[in-house]
Amino acid sequence: MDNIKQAKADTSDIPQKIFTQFIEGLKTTDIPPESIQQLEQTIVVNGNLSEQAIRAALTPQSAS
Amino acid sequence: MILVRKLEIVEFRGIRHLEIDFKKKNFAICGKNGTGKSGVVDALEFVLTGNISRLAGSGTGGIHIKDHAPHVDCRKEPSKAKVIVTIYIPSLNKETTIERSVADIPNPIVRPSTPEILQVVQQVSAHPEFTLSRRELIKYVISAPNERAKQIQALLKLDEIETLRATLQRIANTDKKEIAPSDNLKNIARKALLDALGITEAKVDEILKAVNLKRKELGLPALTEFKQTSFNDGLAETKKEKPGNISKSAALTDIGNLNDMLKSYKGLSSSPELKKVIEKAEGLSTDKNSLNLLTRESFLQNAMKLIEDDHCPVCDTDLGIAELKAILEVKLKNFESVSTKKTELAKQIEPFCNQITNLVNSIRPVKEYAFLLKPAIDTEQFDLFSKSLQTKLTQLRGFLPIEDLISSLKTCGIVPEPVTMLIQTIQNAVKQIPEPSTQDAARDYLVNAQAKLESYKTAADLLNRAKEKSTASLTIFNTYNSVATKILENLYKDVEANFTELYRFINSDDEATFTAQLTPSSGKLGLNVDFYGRGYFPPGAYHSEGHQDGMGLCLYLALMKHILGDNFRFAVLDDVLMSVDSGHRREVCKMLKEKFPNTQFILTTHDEVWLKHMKTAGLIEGNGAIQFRKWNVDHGPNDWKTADVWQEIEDYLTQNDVRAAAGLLRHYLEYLSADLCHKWHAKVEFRGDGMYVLGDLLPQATSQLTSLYGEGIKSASHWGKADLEKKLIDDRAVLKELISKSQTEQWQTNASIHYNEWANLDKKDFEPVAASYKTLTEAFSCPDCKSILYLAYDKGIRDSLRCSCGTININLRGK
Repeated sequence: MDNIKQAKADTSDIPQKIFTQFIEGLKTTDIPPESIQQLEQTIVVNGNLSEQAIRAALTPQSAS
Repeated sequence: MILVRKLEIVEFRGIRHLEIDFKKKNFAICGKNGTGKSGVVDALEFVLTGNISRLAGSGTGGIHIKDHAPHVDCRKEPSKAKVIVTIYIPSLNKETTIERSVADIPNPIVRPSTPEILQVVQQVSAHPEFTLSRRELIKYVISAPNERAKQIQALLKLDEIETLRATLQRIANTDKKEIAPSDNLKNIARKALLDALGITEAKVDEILKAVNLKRKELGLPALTEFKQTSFNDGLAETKKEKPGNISKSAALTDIGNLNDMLKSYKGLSSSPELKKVIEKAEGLSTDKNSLNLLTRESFLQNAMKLIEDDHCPVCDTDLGIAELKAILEVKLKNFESVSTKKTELAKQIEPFCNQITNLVNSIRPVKEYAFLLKPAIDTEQFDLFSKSLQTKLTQLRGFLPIEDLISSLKTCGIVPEPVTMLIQTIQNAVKQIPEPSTQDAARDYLVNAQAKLESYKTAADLLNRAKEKSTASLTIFNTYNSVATKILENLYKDVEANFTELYRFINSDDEATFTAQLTPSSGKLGLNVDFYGRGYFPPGAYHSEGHQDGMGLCLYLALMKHILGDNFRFAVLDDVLMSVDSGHRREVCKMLKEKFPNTQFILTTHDEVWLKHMKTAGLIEGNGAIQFRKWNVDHGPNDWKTADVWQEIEDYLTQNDVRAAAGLLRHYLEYLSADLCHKWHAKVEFRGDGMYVLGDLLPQATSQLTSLYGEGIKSASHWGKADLEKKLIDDRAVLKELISKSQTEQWQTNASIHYNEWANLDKKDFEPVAASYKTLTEAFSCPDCKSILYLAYDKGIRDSLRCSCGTININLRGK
C-alpha cells in the first residue's frame, strides 16, 4: 500500500509558452539585459508571479 | 488519460454505500432531483482530485469538504467516509485503484503505484475540468467578456496568464503614479535653486552669468559649464565663527518661501473648492448605506492587495489565488457606484494634499537655520505643526474613517499662532546676523547655490528614474500583452474552429452554416455567434436557452480537446443540456459517440426520456445506466434492483402498508415495462409528453413477447426442430397464463393506488397481486443469469431472443 502526496496542480504548456516568448519579446526592447535575465529566472524558472518577486527582479542589483 | 471501471462510495455525501460498475464505457445515471445523482459526481471528483467543486468557491461560505463531505451521520468520523475508484490507464495498459478518505484528503492510497501510474494519477488530479455541470457550462456562453475569459482561462489552466498580466499592469500603474510626486519635488528644488541664484529662468546662460558675477568678486575664474564643475570650485575652505554658518540671504529667502507657503495654506480656509469637498464628504457621512458599502469596499481592496498566495488573507482557507481574486472581484463589482464616488472625491482632495506636502518641505530648511543660530532657537512648535500636517495627510489620503477625513478637511488652513511667532523669531534672529562683506556674501551665495543645485540634480535624477521605471514597466506590460494576445488568438482560433464544427453537427437541421467568433483582447474574451446569417451577436442575444446550452457543451468539448488532445478520455456531464429539445438531444448523443469515440462520458440526468435517447442513439449500452428511484437520509440512493423491490414490497406488506406496496409495485412495473418495450421493440402508442403509464406499456410488452415466442415456434418448425417447437409452445402457454393471471389482479393494483375507498385493502388481498407480478416478471428473464431477454439483430434483421449468458437463445429466423 503506497501513499502519495497530492501534487500541486500542473499547468498546460500554454502559460509557459507565453512566458518564454514574453522574455524573448523583451530582448527586442530597451529593457536592460540583466532585468530580463532576472525576470526570466523569476517567472519562467521559479514560476513566481507575485508583485514582490517581479519588482525585485526589476530592481537593479547593487554592486557588492 | 484514464477510463473509469468501477466506483465504490462509502458514507460520502448522501450515500451510505454504493457500487457502480461503469465497465470503462459510457454510463448514465438517471433519477429525479434529490435521488443522489450529484453525490456520485461529487464522489468521482473527490476521489480523482481531492476536491468537490460544489462545496468550494463563492456562495459556499461555512461549508468545508472535511466537515461536510462525510454522510451526515458520519460527520464526526471522517475516516469512514471514503471513495474507491478503479481506473484503467490506456497509455500504460494498466489498471489501478485509488482510495481517498475524507480523513486524509491529500494522501490517496494508490494500488499498484508504479512511478508511471502515480504520474498519471497526479495529472488527472490536476484536471478537475473533467466534470462539467450546467452551472459551469452556462458561464462559458453568457458571461460578460472579462468573466468568460476568466472561466475559459481557468479551464485551459491559463489563470497564471491573467495573474501575471494583472501583476504587470499593477506595477505599470503604480510606477506611472510615482512620476507626479517626483515632478513636484523637482519643481520645488528648481524654485529653490532659482531663488538662491536670484534669477527667474533656469537657462544655462542665465545661471552661469549669475554665478560668474559672484566668482569674479572672489577673484575666481569664470565657469563655462556646471555639469563637471561646482559653482564654488576654487573657493578656499574657511571656518566661520559667525552664527552657525548661515548664509543670511539664503536664510531670508527660505523664510520668505515658508511665509508664502503659509499664506497660501491659510487661504484654504476660505477656499470655495475646499468648501465643496467638505460638503460632499459630509453628504457621504450622512448616507449610512454608502458609508457601509465604502467600508466594505475598502476592506475588500485591502484584501485584494494582500493576496500573494493560494490562501485567503483573512481566514487562511486554501482556495487558490485565482479563485480568491475572482471572489473578491465579483464582490467588488457590487461597490462600483460608491467606489466611483470615492475616487472622484479623492481626486479633488489631492491638490490640498500636495499643498500640505510642499508646506512640510518648506519648514525643514527654516528649522535647520533655527538650530544653527547662536543661540539656537527651540523649534518644538515646528515639530508639532509638521506632525499634525503629516497626520492630516494620512487622514486625507486614507479617506476612511469619514469623520477623520471631514475633521482634517475642516482644519485645513489653520496655522497655530506659536508657529507664526516662531518664524518671526527666527527671521528676526537671521536679520541680526551682521551683513556679510561683499566677498563673504559672494562666498555664501556660491555655497548655497551649489547646495541647491545638488538638491535640484538629485530631484531631477529621481524624476528621470521614475520616468524610466514607468517607461520600462509599461514596455514590459505592453510586450506581455502583445505576446499573450498573439498566442491566445491562435489558440482560440483552433478552439473556435472546433467549436463551430461541433455546434454545426448538433444543429445540422437549421444551423449548418453556423459560425462563431472568439475574440481575445487584454484580459477579455469576446464570443459572438452568427444568428441565421443576420450578423454576429452575443449568444444570449437571440439564441434560445437550449441553443445556448448546446453552445456551452460544444465550447467545453472543443476546449477539452485542445487541452488534452488524445488524452481526453473521460468526462462527467452533470445534468447538462436540460433545455435542449429532444431532436437536438439525439444529435448531441450522436456527436458524443461519433466525435469522441475514445472518451468515456458519465452523464447524469433527471429525465428518463433523455436516458432513452442515449440508449437508442447507442451512446450507452443497455446495461450502461443506473436509475435512482428514491433517496432517504438513512439509506442514500436506491436503484431499481429487482431483489430490492420485491423485498421492499414484502416489508411494506408486513407493516400492512398496502398503499405503499402497491405504489412501489406500479412504479417498478412502469420502469420495467418501458425497458421491456425498448428491448423487445414493442409498439407503443406515442405520447407527446413522454408520460407513459403502466397501461400504455405492460400489455404491449407482454403482447410483443408472446408474439416473439410465436416467431420462435415458427422458426423451430421451419428448421424441423420438433422438440424445441414443443418446448416453446409450452413456454408460451405458461407465459400466457401468467399474463392472464396478472391481468385479473391488476384492478387491485390500480385501486390501491388511486382510490381512497380502497385504503383499507388488507395485505392478504394484495399478496396474490404482488406474487402474480413477481412470477410474471421472472418469465421475462433467464432463470440462470437473471438478465432480461433481449432482441438480437444481425445485419438489421431480427435474429434471436436471448439472455446474457446464452442459456436462452431462441432463433427467430426461418429458412
